[in-house]
Amino acid sequence: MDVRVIYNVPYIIPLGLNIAVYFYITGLHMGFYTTSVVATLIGKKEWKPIGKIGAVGAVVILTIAPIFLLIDLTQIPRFWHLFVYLNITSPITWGTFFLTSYPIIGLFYAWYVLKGRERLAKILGLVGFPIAVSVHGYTGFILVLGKGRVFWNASLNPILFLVSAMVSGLAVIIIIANIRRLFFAGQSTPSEKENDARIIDILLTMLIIFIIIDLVLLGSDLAALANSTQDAHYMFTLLTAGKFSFWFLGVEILMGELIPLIMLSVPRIKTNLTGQNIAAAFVLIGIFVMRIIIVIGGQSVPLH
Amino acid sequence: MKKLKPRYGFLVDLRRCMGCHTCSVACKNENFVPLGVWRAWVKQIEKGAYPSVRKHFLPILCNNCENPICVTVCPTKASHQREDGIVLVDPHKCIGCRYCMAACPYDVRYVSPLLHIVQKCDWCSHRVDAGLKPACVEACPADARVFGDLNDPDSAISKLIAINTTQVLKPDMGTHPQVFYINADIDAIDARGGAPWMSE
Repeated sequence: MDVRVIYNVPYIIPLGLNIAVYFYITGLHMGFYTTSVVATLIGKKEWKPIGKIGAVGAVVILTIAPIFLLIDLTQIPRFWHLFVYLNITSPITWGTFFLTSYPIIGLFYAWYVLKGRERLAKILGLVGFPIAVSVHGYTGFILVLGKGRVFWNASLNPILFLVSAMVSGLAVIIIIANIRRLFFAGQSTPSEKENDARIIDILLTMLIIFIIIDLVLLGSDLAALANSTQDAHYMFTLLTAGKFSFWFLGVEILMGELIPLIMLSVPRIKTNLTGQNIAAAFVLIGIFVMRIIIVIGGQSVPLH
Repeated sequence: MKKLKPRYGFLVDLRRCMGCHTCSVACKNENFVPLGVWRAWVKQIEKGAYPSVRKHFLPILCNNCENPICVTVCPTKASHQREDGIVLVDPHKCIGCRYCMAACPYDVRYVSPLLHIVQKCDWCSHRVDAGLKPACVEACPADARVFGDLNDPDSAISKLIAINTTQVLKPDMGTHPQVFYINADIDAIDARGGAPWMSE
């Protein structure tokens, strides 16, 4: 049937880049914190630098993150309403609690890690862990409750967000740890260098595992989109053959996940500092594009 | 029998609608809706090829849903629902996070370029409270728009819903929209009607 739209009002995309960047940054935060807590719990000397990088990185990142939320409001001076007119059914309200409570625990945790007070760091690390996960996890629920958006309203999203957060967090920690290795190369003993290389290798293996889980989740997401409602199929087409196909297939999947996976499967590249950094940088770019696609692409299916 | 409290509803009889846009203009005038944004509008499509060709209209407005997702997700309770079912945005509470706009399956909300808060059709609640009909209902020259109490079996809207085949937009969303349509066209309802997705 030949159908032409003669008049309709413009279709707008309410949430944009600020929110995508916010999601990305909270993801990095979760990766930082989780890796740091794991390193602190292991408790061995050679893991301490990773614990410190993660603990400090998490605090720094979470100081920046709320700025993107704040500047995105159309009524910035009213941000305090979030603390006064609470609506417990809104994931943004949950986020208000998490974003306010985490920095307190995160600061103390980082302080104890830096001061080498291991017992307290371990306790606080574990206590703060559910909140740190929730700081990013709630963003997945923001999407799930967007019931009009087929790409958002998927039960996998909170899990996918947590996994991709680990992917990006590990990637950035690997890069920082490698910079640290280069910086202290002259002062390190051969055994310290060997330990550092071993730890980076473990982090890279973790990165590979999380990339594989991420790909599996994305695969099931795509399978559901392709075989579900009309809107879902339209979204699938946008991702695989429409205006987001280059970014989704080319940058997010190929550059951000498959190429790093292949690179890190080659032992020569996995042990090479430059190779490690390039793979990690690709992962970071891929996850950033993923956040943009899920936020902006997810709102690109017209609703009226 | 005990009289129930009013639960307002809205009906658009598309057998009568002629796509004159009087409703859109009346709404803009009544609610001071700025240029570039709309609380209520009439989508128009053209179907078929000559000589079997016809225009179809779909007046779109907030559904003031029975189960409004905008109220669920609003972090400041700015979006709230009255006892009579009308969903309002408190202009003093809204922080402009636009989560309600992102979550609404009908895309009937906008950010006011003047007030920088989210606004939407509230069936002219200020007029309803004064015992008047919404401005678009009052202005419609074809009486295609009917507003009234769904809990009153004698109201015009209840009678029309009872004796006609009606439908709502996206019933699968579980929001229970309270804007009912008689004779709505399937392609006019389809958000991608006339825009074949494969060619995008």
